[in-house]
Amino acid sequence: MIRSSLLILSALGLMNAWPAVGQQPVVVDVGTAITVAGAPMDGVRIICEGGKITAIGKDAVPPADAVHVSMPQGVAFPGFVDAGGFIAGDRHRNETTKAVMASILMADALDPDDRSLRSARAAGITTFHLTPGESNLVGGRSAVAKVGDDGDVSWLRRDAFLKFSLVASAWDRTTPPTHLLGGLELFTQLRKDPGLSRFWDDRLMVAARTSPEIRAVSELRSRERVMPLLLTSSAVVDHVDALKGSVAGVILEPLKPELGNHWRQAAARLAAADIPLAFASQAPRVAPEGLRLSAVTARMGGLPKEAAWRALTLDAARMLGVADRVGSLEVGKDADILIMTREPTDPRARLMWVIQDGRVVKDPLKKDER
Amino acid sequence: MPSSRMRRALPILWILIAAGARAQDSANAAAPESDVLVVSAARLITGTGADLTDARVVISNGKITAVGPAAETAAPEGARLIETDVLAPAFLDAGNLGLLDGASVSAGPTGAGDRVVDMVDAWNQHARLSLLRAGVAGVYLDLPPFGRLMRGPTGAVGLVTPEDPSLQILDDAAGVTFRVGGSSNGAATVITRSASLRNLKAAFSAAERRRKALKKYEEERAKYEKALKEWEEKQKKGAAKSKEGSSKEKPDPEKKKAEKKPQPPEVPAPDPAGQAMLRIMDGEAPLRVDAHWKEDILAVLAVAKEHKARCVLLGASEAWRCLDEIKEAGASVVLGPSLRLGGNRIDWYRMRPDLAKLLHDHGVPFAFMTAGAHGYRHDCAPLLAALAVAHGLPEDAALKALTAGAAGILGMEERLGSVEVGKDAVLQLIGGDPLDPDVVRDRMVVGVRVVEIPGRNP
Repeated sequence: MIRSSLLILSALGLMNAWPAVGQQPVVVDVGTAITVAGAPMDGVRIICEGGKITAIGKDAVPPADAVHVSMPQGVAFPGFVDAGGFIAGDRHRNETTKAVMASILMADALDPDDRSLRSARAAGITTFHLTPGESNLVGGRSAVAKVGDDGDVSWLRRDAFLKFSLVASAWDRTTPPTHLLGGLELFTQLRKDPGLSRFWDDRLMVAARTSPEIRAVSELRSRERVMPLLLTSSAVVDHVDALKGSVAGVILEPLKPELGNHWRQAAARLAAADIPLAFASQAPRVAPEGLRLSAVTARMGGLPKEAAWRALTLDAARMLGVADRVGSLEVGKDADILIMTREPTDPRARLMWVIQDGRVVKDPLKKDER
Repeated sequence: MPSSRMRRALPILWILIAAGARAQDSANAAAPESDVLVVSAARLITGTGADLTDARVVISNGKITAVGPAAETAAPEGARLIETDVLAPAFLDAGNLGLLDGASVSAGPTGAGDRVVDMVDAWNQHARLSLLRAGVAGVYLDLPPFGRLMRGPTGAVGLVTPEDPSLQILDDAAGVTFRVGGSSNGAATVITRSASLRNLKAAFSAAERRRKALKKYEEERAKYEKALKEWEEKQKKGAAKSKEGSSKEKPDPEKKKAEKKPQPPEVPAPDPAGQAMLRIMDGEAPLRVDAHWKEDILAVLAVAKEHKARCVLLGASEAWRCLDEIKEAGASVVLGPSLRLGGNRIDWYRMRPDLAKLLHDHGVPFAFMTAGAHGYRHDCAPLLAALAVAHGLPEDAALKALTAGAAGILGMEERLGSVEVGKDAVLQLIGGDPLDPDVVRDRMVVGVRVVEIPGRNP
């Protein structure tokens, strides 16, 4: 009943005003703040009020009734922005009645009680991009959201990207399109569909995993005059030059530590080519901790630390069009803060506190969330 | 550990591998080689917990001969001197398949007699270099059972060295890996569980039979040698009588039959797997078992106890449910990745990311391995330790698991794993914290050689 009510409320967009009024302020004192928007700051105090960051500085005056989170040796970092996955909507990610299901809104599939939300928060993911699956050419439209530990949904974008899939699982072997070329032909036909015209400029994402699929995406700009976001695997390492200027950005699927040296370099080569980069957790299909582990693996492959920080936060937020709210520690932005023992791309870094919209949602003094 | 294990670790095999590291002995380039090397370190991580600052280590003929504060440890005359910020024992990976031939890994073990030393890829210089760049010099070469197999080949302990010979096998029968339960390939069922346990027990029974057969052979051999000696003496006496002129006597057929030359007993067929099992039963090598569920772990501990085997649990996802039992049994644990991206194997969900911390808190010896059905790349043992630190394991305990702790589990504690007098000099010279992902690690000491490791991973 409660869940149904939440879904109705969220569908009406009535919950966008969250966080609630009267929330207790939080004061964070840490040794270092990696704001991502600028250079790291030492010995910093961050004040969160009304779900927003209201002050950052050594001399910020804390409100009288604030909750204090103090870790003198700790590192404050913006909450991770998961650029692609199925958090809170995994059960409904694939609707394969037809090859083109453009009317599917993943926002409607979001379950605020889904258990994947808790594990995602515990892994530091405070903002997530809920995307359709890859079992048909057009799986639907994605959403960018946050869900509080009390189940409150905060939409950053209810109707974000139209997701195409060129991966093998998209082809129904009995009805067209049955293969990649058929899919591209249908893409060309859909390009003329006036009902989809609003997506072509900057609201298109395409999943491609193998070399032929990635090459096909790199040619979409010249063929169809579109620059999509590319959701892809480490195989992109061999196509960086072709993708430069052809895609709006690349969202990398989890970079696994079992990858060989060549594949580990995918993120580093994209960054060197100035192609915007973000990481997708694919949670809960994959453990949400994999988001940070992707950054660790990318660092092993030569990605500079600062670029890895941005890929986990601000670049992902920019790519998803929500950088005005999340992705960095700046006054006026949502108070999504992780407090760790080290910077997040150091594999030894332990996540201690998670603050989301100015509320402490993970606390090491409370029972560990598993 | 019984010292006999080290003696019986021989024969030592040396596998010559084409030089791949292109390492240069920088210290030797300008001066003639000296057998004595002195390393001065601003910080010495001994691996035993007693770290030193401003320390000095003297190495002679490949062995550490002195360790102490620089002010109290004299450098022998004529010794080569080098300096480093941090000196630490090289890391050990307690289950690694990076140096194995890819085709062998794909095919998997084919029979109980397989030996992993026969699967080593002698030309994989990339693997060796990436291991050394990660600070890993010692590996348990393993090919765990997977698919429907329940037993891997006989494992080996090897030392990765950057110059020829570049892989030194220290023990070619260092253990045998079994699987109990169905966790290596899908969910455990009653059938896979009982079949794998039966397989493990059958291996011990076969080894018992082999021991009896060997004993019987030894007894028959002794009888044969005695009979042969008697026969030879009789032959000599007979020959002497013939010379004295008794050749006119007709030979007695019965007597001649009795004097037939004794035949030796049949030699038992070679059985490397059986030999390895006998070493396990004698406590000279560990029984390694890939087991994840609590029920499987307890069953394995019972079998190990019955045969007085030193048990090493691999993976052990549900060890957190039976820590006291593992501790009481004196077993060790070799941990694979606690965080695996992809797949939906049931044991992953049962694994706790803080398992290393729990084992540490309970005093259960543990190490890390990159091998396994979905293990990390072969150079990721330090990453596994670092991720355990992220889940509460103290950093010194993580370092111990990569050095002295792993050496103990591999039965190499008398040679590897720490900077102590008498140990082999297998050390890493680094610019900072050994688990720091940004640390500069460009030199290693192997024996008396200081070897530069070119480039960084990747």
